[in-house]
Amino acid sequence: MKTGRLLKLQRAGVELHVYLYQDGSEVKAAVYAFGGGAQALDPIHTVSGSSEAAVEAEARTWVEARFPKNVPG
Amino acid sequence: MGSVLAASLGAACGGSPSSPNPIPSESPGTPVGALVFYDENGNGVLDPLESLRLPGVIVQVSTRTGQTASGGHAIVANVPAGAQVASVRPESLPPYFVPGPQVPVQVPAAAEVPVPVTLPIGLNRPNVYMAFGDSITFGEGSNDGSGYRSYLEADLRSYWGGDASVRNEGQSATRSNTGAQRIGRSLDRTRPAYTLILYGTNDWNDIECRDDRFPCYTIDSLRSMIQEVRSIQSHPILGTIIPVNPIFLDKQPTERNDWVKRMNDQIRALAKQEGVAVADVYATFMSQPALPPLYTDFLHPDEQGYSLMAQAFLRGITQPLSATSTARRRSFFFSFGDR
Repeated sequence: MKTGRLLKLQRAGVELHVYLYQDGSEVKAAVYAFGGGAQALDPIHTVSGSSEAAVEAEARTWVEARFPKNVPG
Repeated sequence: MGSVLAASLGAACGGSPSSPNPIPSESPGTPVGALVFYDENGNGVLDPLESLRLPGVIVQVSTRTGQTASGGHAIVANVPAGAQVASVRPESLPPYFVPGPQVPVQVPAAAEVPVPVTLPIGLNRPNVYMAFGDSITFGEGSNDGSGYRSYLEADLRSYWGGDASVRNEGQSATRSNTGAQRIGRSLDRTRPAYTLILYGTNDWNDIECRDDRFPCYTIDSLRSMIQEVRSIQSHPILGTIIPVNPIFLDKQPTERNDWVKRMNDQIRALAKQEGVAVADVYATFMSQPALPPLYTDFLHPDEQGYSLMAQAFLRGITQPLSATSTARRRSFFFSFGDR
């Protein structure tokens, strides 16, 4: 990965930012939540691995499990 | 309409000479309606095409004062009857505006009194604003590519009417020393009444701007731009530079934002030395609950960020230089930001 990449995901009441970046030989993802009272600049979750695609997929899976696109009700 | 206004003002304040119960104490006087307008051609008269009105300005008639609201209207209460003059308090005017000639008023006035103010711009074009800077001024990352400029146009039109035009002279990847070299050509092309300078973000990429040579060429370049703007009688508005998105952990965001903060201290000091109005974009960003939702990437704002930038420039353009707090006219700014 040449430079960091930012994914913005909108969910009900919260904006999730997933930042993917290279750290030495590892690819890392840091997940942040904004809105709904969560304003701290500490990531709510991190993922690391050797492949950008795998790290992104794992981060997305984590987000979808906790912040699903369509909340029933 | 003027006589209707005078009659209604008189009725509302009990100042009518025909009032059945006149108050016998000190002369209460009568209210005078005033309209503060931008007298573009400086002839002292409100001409049909002069559509800018100035909110927040203190109008004085005799010894009494009132402040203009949205639309430039003010009511000065309890003005003694007889021959008076209307004027504006210079310290209440937006930067670079100057009072026009005093206006004779016979009180009670039959109509709202137009009070002129002028903006010395030489041969430049009224209501034209030149946005000058790097890719942030260019609008990189915004949905339609217009960045803060279209938000500012809308904000200016809402604030004081007229037909503001914010022209793009942003050039991506440029640093302040390049800006100082190219501003003359941009001014020649645009002939703006105002020049909105926003430079410094990319200077970080020069090592000399980060080591003990800080602030390197940045402040000298900005000073040079200010002087060039003034040499053609355009009016500079100097922007502070925005912080970077702090979640880009591999790009030294903490170190860089410390540098941005220190550079902005220098930029504000420069503005004070030169008597230039500041658009404190940095302070506007830092007042938000969180920075990341204002960005589309590491450097460039998203729509929310560009809208905030426009609000900061609007304050820089319209708030008197003597004001030290953004709170003074805060109520005028709440409704802006929709493109």
